[in-house]
Amino acid sequence: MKIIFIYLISLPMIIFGDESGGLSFLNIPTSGNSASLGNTITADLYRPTSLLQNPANIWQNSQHTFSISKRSAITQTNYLNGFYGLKIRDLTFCLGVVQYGVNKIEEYDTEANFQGYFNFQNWAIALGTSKRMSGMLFGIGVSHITQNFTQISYNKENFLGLDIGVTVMDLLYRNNNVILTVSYVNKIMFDIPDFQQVNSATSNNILGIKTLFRQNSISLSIFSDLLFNANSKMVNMRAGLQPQINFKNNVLTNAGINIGLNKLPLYWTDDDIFNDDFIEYSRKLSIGGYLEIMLPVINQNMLINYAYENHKVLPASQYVSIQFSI
Amino acid sequence: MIDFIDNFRSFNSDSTFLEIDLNTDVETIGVPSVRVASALTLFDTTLHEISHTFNVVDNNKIRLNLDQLLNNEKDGLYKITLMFNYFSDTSSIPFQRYYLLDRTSPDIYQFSPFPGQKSDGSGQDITVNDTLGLYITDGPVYFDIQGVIYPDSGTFPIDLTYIFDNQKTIQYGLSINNNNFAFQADSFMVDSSLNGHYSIDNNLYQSNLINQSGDLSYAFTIRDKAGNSNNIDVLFYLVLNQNSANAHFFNYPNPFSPRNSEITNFRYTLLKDTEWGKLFIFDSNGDLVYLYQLKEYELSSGTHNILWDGNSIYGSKLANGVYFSIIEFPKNKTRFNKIAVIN
Repeated sequence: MKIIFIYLISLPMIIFGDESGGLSFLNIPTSGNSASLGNTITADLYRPTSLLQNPANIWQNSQHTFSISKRSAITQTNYLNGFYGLKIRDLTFCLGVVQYGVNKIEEYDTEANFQGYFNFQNWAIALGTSKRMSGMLFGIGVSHITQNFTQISYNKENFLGLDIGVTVMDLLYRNNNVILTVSYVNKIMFDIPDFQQVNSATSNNILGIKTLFRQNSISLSIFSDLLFNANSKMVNMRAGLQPQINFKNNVLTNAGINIGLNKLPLYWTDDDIFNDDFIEYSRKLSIGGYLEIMLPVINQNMLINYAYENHKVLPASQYVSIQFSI
Repeated sequence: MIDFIDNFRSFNSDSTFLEIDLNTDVETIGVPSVRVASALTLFDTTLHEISHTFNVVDNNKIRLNLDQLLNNEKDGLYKITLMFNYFSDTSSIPFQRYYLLDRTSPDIYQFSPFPGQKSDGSGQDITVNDTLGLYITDGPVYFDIQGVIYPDSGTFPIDLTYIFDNQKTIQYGLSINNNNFAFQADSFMVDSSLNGHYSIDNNLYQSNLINQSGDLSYAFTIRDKAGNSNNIDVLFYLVLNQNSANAHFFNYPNPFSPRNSEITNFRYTLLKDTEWGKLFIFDSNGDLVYLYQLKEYELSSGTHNILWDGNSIYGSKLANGVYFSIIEFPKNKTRFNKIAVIN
C-alpha cells in the first residue's frame, strides 16, 4: 500500500504540463479558516473542506459534516462551495462541489471596438476518501472539472483532477503539549478526452507542517507549507498562525484568531523575475477568526469562519464559512 | 503639332475621355490609329493590344474613350501610341504617352491609437498630448528613378518621375462635441510598398482643446491624382480626468489566443508624465502570473499600448481561462481588467 502511494506521489514530479494559470479557481481557499491561515494544506485538517487541498486531511471525528463557503471579492466574480463528509469506521468519504464564475467580461476586436459582454464559468465536483492507518492518513481525491465561456464561441472543456496525499498525524507521539502534523500532497490534472496532463496550478507538490502548542485551555498553532513547482523549479512558502482558546462553556466551545501569509516566494531559477517586486506582489496577507458553537437543542457543532484577505494591488477578498458536524 | 488636350496623366473611371488635337486635318497626314498597351509588357513579344474605337470630334481632333478601352484591364501604367498610316504607306511616326489607370481609392488601414469604441458607443480615450497616426495605402504603382514598381509584378525599368510622383493629398477637420474648430489641407507620400503615414499632433490644437472633454472627431478626405478619394470619420473621447481615464483601461483583442500566436494590447491613458508603472496579471486565485515594468517611453502623458503574447513569467503559455490585470502608477491604480484566454 505504502509503495503504491510513494509511486503515485512521485508521479507528478516527472510529468510536466506546458501551460500555467488555468483552473486556478481550485486553489482558491475553500473556507474562511483556510483563507485566513494562508491557504495552508493543514489549515482545515480533519474537515471536508480539505478535499481540494489534501484529501488525506478530510478524515474526521464526526459522522457527518456539512460545510458551505462563499467568497466575495472582485467585482463580477463569484465563488461558492459545499462539502459533505461521512465517516464510516476508519474511512472518511467526502463529496464537494465548487462553482466559480466571472461575469461581464468585455469583448473587444482587434481594433479596440467593444463587441459585447461574455461570461466564464468553472464547476468542480470532487470525491475523496481518507483512511487512517497506524497514525497516518492516506487520501485520494478525484475531481471532474468543467470550464465554459458563454455568449462567445467556445467548446466546453472537461478535466480530471487527481490528488494524492498522506498525512502523519502525530510525529511527537504521546506529547500532549506539542502536536506535530506533517502533510504532503501531489496534484495532477488531465484534460478529457485526450488525457494529456495540464499544469493546473503554480504548484503541484505541497509539503505542509502544523505544529500545535497546547497549555491548559490556550493553544497556538503554526502552519507552514512549502510549494514546489516542478515546471519552473520554483519554491514558495505559505504560513499561518492561530492562537485559540478552549472555553469551558456549553455553547461557545472554541474561538481563535487567524493570521495568514499566502504566499512568499523563496527560490526561483529565473533571477530576472525573482526580485523585490515579484515577492511583494506575490503575497497576500489575511486575518480572520473562528467561533465553534454547540447548538444546545439539536446538539450540533457549528463552526463559523471569517477571513479578510488583502493584496497590494488586488481588491480585498472576504470569505465566510459555516460548518455543521453531527 | 499634336497636343493631348487634357493634361491629366493619372485617370480613373470618371475621367473617361482623352482628347487629342492633331492641329491639322486628318486628311493631310493620313489615317490615324491608336494603340493602347500595358506599359508593363513593353518588352513582351506578345504585346497586348486592345482593339479600340475613337471618334473624330472634328477634322483635327480625336477623342478616345478610355473607360471603354480599359474597362476590363487592371489598374496600372499604360502607353497610348498614336500612329498615322499615310494612305497606302504603312510607315508611321508614333506619338506616345504614358498614362496611369488608377481606380484604387486611398484608404486608412490603421490608426495609432485606434479610435475603437467603448461600451457606451463613444470612442476610446485620447488626450491633448497624443499624436494620431494614420497608416494609409494607395495603389497601383510606385514611381522611382529606378523604375515603376508594381508590388505584385515587379519593377518596370523606366524613370517616369518627371511625369508622375507618389504624392497624395489629405484634408481633415476636427470638432469637439460637434463644434468644428480646425480644418487643414496637406499632402503626404507613399513608399514603395504603397503605404504612407501621416500624423496629427493634438498639441497643435491645444488652445482649442484645453479644459475640454467629450467626443473628439476627425473627418478625413484623402485623394490621389487620378481623382479617387475616400472620406473617413473617426471618433475618440478626449479625456480630461485621470480617474475617468483609469476607468477605461482594457485589452484588445479580448479574448485572445496565445497558442495561435495572437497578441493582445493593454491600452491605458496618462494625463501627466509619471515616474514608474507596473503591469500585473493574476490568475483567478490572485497568484501573479505576469509582471512587467513599464519602459520610460510608456510613462509619458498620452495613450499607450503594451503588447503581451500570453507568456507567463513561468515561461509557458497561459491556459484557457480568465485572468485579471492591473496597471499601477505612483498613487494611481487603474481599474481591474478581465482578460480571457481561449486557445
